[in-house]
Amino acid sequence: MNVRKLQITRRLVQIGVLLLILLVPVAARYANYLSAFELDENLEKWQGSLQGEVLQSVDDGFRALPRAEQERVGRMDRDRKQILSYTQLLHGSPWSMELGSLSLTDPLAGAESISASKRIKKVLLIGLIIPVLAAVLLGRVFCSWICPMHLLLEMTDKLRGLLRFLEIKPRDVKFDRSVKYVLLAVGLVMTAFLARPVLGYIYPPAIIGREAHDFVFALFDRAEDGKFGLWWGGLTWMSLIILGIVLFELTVSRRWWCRYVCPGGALYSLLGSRRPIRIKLDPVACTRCADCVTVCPIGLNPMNDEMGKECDNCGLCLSHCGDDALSYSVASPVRLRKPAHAARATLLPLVIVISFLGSSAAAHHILGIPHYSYDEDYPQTPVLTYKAEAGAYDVKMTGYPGKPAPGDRCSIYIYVNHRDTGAVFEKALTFTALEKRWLGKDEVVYGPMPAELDQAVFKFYPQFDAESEYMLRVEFEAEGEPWIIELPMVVGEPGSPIFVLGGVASGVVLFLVIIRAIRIKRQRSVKRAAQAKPVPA
Amino acid sequence: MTERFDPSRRNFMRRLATGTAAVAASAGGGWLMSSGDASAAEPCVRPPGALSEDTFLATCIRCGRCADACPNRCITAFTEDAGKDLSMQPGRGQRGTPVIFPRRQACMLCNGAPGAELQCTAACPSGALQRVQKTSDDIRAKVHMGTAEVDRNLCYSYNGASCGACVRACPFEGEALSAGLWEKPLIDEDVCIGCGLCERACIRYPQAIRVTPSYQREGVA
Repeated sequence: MNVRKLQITRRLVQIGVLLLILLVPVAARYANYLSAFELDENLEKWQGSLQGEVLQSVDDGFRALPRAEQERVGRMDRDRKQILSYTQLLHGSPWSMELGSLSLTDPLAGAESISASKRIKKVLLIGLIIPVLAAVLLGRVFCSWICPMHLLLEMTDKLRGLLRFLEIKPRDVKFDRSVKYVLLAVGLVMTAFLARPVLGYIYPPAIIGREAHDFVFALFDRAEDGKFGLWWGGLTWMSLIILGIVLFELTVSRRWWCRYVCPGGALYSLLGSRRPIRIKLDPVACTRCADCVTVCPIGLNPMNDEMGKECDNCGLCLSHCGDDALSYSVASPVRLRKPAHAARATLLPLVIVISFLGSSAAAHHILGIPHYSYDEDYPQTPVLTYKAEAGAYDVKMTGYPGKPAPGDRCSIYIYVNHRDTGAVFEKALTFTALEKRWLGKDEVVYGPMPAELDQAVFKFYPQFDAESEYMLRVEFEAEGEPWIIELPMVVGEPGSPIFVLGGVASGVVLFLVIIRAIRIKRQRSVKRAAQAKPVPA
Repeated sequence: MTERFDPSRRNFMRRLATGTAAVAASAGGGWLMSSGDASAAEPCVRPPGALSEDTFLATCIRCGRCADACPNRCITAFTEDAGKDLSMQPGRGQRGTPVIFPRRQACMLCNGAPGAELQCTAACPSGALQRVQKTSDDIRAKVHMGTAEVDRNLCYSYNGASCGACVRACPFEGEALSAGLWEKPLIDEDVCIGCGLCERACIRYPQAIRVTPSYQREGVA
């Protein structure tokens, strides 16, 4: 097969998988609407919006599929029933996916489930057959053909190329390859020890699958409320792991995740260590140009025929080889060489992974934790409840409505009671509402308002005009100590994707400018030093 | 480019340090990931066919396939956001696991959906949800999501009015939930599977009939 065609096919498959990841949750919602007899109504109501158009094209797609003649069953007309059974053929994400009637599960998911539950389920093994066979025969092909993170990182690689073109040379720190095996082993031992899966929470394909689901579902939830357009709402902080990997890749270390850290990649490498299909070098034809070495995403050395167990058979080295010295070969299992040792700054990738998982530091101020609940008497509108502790006192705040819209007047009641005796705090208390600003000082929109007790409660009625994030500040002095309690409050739905994207992009640009400035400065100082003190020969 | 095996002590120490650091770091990370406050203020139940809670949390791979398969949209993947308006906090290693909030949408046991099995159980790739046939016997044998409980102070039928909404909603009407005098709901805890349709149907706010998840009865956090 033509090498170039192979690369095009690979890229198409990758993009297809990415689209599939987004399509699956849409299809799930489509099936929900169809089941609930809401589809036609929603299609009509949402016409012209993003959600409406996507739903319409999914509908067209499912209706284009062939349908068998069936008897009418009750009020389920046969089209509907047939389409509903089609929607059952597509579930999940690359972490575990139902495709047609095939069940495909990531070997890492299988390993974790087995190690955590200490039992082997037949369903699980059925799902593992195809991925494990593929890995045993072809090596890490999941990485090069399926993994959405791999596609993302290949694009980042292209960005690195652009940076080099702009003469901002991104660093390429090399770590120890064995880190990923250690991470895999420790992860599996911990899974067994905790009886809970752990690695699935930091494995990018699993994260991307979950985030895509949350993202798409949040979009449709909004459409049901009559709000359209793109929104980040469904994404959780897990996306920051992905963003962090990409940024680190862009600036510090090329393909660090795939080469040094990924526990899934480690498992695939182990499975594929004796793969019969591998890339072979023709030493006679090779002109030792090292093009293949530069291009290899996994950082292997095809020029010396050192493909080891980690090669993902992506074929990039083949397509970059000008001498036709490399080719796929079907060989009997080959004896393995010892992996190359490169213990350089080995701690760093793990430290970075862990720092994403770290918890936030405690500050001197007390920050209340929001807590929405339905009021017992009136369940339609959620009430915001905060609880905080200040010395010997328990502070409770309720806000009604809990999620105010811009322009709403909000009733804020504050209860301060002694924790042990239950006695009401009787001295004055000051309340301030501040609108949070990204730059500069927060703007006071209400108060500072001192208040006396009103039937054992401190009552305030601030009005929030703008759609923004606010901070409610309660200040009082108890037992000679001043206390400041801050409670976050969100009005409307502030924050748009464009704003966030713009923030990230400008952050990256700023970062690059700083790097460039440091580099220029360093070059100048080197030059100056060279002029001042000629190096003795 | 090539680096040969270096048997020196320095290299050994380096590798030892790497290994120790990696073990410590990933152990710490895993602990962080799986720790959390298991304070479930409002009851949420696991999908039908789920193994007992502890085994379920160990076996489930958090792929979300059951949530995709659910035709009734009652299964959601547990995140901080998913349960926020119902005061839920994901507990130890619960993030991404499937939950049902019966008050929002209860399990209708795939009534009217295609297929011979409950669709979430047919979709589960890990065996955390056992496969359940859509037959009365199989559902009774394998589905134990929870048990309904009536608060007699709230229930209209126990307070001089006659309602019976929950009894009509019960898939095992007359067995799990039967109507007593003036349509007072009577629960048979041995038959009740905890689908939550009664809780969803209850016209009283707060609901007079609620499902207590079976894991709360087992005493598993």
